[in-house]
Amino acid sequence: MVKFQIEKKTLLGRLGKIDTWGSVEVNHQTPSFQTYLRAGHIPHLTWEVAENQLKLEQTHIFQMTLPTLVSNAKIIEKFGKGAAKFCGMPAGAAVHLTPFDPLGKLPGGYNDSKSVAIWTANGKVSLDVKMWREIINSFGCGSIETLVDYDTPKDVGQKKLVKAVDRTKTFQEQLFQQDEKVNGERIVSLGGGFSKYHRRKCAVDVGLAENIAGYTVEFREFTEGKETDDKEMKELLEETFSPLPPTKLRCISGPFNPKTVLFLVQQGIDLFDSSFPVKLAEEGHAFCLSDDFPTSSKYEVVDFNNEKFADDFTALFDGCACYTCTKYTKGYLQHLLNTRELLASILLVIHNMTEYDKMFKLIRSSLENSEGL
Amino acid sequence: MRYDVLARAGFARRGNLHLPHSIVETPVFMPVGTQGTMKGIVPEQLVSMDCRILLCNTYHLGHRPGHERVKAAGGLHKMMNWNRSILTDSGGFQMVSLSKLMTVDENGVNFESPHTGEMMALPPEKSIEIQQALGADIMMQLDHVIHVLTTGDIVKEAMHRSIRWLDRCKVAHTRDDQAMFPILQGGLNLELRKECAKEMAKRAKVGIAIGGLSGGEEKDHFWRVVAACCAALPPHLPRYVMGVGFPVDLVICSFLGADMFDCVYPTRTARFGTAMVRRGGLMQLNQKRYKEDFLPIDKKCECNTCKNYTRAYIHSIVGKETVGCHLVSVHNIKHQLDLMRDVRQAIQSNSVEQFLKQFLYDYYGPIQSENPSKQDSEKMREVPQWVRDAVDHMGYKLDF
Ligand SMILES: [Zn+2]
Ligand SMILES: [Zn+2]
Repeated sequence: MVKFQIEKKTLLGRLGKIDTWGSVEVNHQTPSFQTYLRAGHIPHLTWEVAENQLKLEQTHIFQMTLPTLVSNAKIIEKFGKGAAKFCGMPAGAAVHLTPFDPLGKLPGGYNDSKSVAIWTANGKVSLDVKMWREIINSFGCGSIETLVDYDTPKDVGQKKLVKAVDRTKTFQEQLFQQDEKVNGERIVSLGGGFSKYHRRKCAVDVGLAENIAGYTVEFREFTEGKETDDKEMKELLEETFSPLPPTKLRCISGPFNPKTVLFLVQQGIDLFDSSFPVKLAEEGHAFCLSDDFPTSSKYEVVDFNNEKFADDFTALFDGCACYTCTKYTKGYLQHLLNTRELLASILLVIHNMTEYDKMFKLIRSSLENSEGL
Repeated sequence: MRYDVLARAGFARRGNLHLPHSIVETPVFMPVGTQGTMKGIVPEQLVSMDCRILLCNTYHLGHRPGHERVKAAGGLHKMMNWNRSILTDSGGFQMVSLSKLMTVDENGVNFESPHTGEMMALPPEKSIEIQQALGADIMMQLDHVIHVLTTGDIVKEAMHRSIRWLDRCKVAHTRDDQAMFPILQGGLNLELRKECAKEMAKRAKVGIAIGGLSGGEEKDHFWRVVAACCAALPPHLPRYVMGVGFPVDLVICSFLGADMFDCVYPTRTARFGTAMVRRGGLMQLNQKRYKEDFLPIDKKCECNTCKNYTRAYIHSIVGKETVGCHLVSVHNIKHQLDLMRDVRQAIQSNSVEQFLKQFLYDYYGPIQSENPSKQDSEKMREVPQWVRDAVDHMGYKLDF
């Protein structure tokens, strides 16, 4: 089970603790994040490097994303020891399986009444409930999430929106049909796009089912790089959560920058994912929180593609104790990016994830120090 | 800096080369980290594989980030977080292979700058200056590289010029914490090679290289040149055969008396999903036959990849995620290091013949498979004649 309890509620957000994830004891404090995986790896890090050079505060809860693995679903089934083992992951890890890659593209217009589209290197895969259930059962992850029709952009027509919410409900009912076995804890996906009404409707439709371990809010239209409106996000989340039991775990997936994370924490989100630091790393960027974070939500993004770093052989960020900052310099990183060497992404992923991890630690301690409600 | 021969078996030697940053056990394979990094492998992984020395390319580093910058970074070791030994080449070879407009005169090599397109000169002194700024444990002299298949007087001229350049390099060489290796030239002409060996051995302090090979010459010529050079060189100098890295070449050259090797092949080929294996030689993991193959690349290999991953998994991500490339690179480098460890062991225990038989039997045999029909479908490949001749020359017998 996902054993989660809220320890404190404040005006800035809620503090909680996940004792177990599936059968794994994690003692993972929230707000926090799932570790984003592609092909069963933290992008660019082999498990050897991840285990030896990436030191994070808490036991990982891994977010296994399907698109890089879906073409091998039959092979993983034949392998018979689960997806985590297939991907060489460390034994005994807490793993959550999601159909979506938060950094992948999801163009509109490809979902239908039977399936949602996910995109692999070789094109579209229409994921229907039966296929999803088979994958869930052969992958053997600690938790899974339900299918959601995500195709609800801001300008979506009313008819399409209604359909999307209906489909999300149908997908869930079909997935958990009686007599069907579904391995793993259930995280329910909540959709509804930009409509307060449909956010609430979707929450009522799917969120009140039995045996639910938590929720994940479909929020891809609000991730880094998109134009977002705080008020709008706040209202949509309020509509989503108000009909639901308040004590369950609330997740959100996608690249959210520190400022948005702070804001979403305030709206009661417990668990994010680490796609933001990976996204930055893949652009040659590193980020660093301001000294007074989270009092200030400021952070700096440094572009190491910039040649101005070529002659600077000082550490990337003073005071950061990560592998990258203690062993390498700005100038070297610039050289690696300039020569398109693979090590650049490795080093940037390690720093950025360390910083993202530190960010949540700072958020948690600020919640600890603020007044409870 | 010194070289101790610890054991001999036939022509082969097992030695220790003491360098400022590590003791290198020979015969040794040196992986190549062209740009001052090992293709997506962190230095700690190389240390855990007991890699003691690697090679970086002067030509590339001289351009990007530039030798002054490397110097400002505190030298190559510090810049790349590698405090074991490094060897840098002279930069000359890369100019020959990368610059179409390259010319050579007595002053040095002239080449087209990849940045400005202008012609630039690299005299021997400049090569040493750059290499001293990089700060590797071993530097290479600038030599006059000609294509290995060139014939006529130019071969002799290039050889003599390389000797003159060696003298200029020696004058330019001022740092005593770096060794400088001369490079034997002389093409495929064994008499020239011997003459060159005699002249250069007089001038060599720590070790010496055998250059001008691995450029598309016939294998029959290749091994005979290596054998002749090794025979002509004094025993106190480790002998570095440049650009050699295919497993069978490493094994044969080691038993002919060579001590050091380098090659980009293990990491370069990893990018395309090709793993090096003792049984069958090469495994192209992007092939369909590995799609459902749940064996590790090599059951006996103790690298991190083989301990944790199947061929099927690697097949599924090769060319898609950088991790696929990293996993195969780790295996390939470990494969080369382990092969050389076993070669050293064979020399130490005087069991070269036994080792050769097993190695060649595996190498030219089929790839290990769980599916017997697949294994049968791949018959043993012929051991090439040049290998048989070289083995014969060493005085060993193959019984297959
Ligand atoms: Zn750092
Ligand atoms: Zn291996």
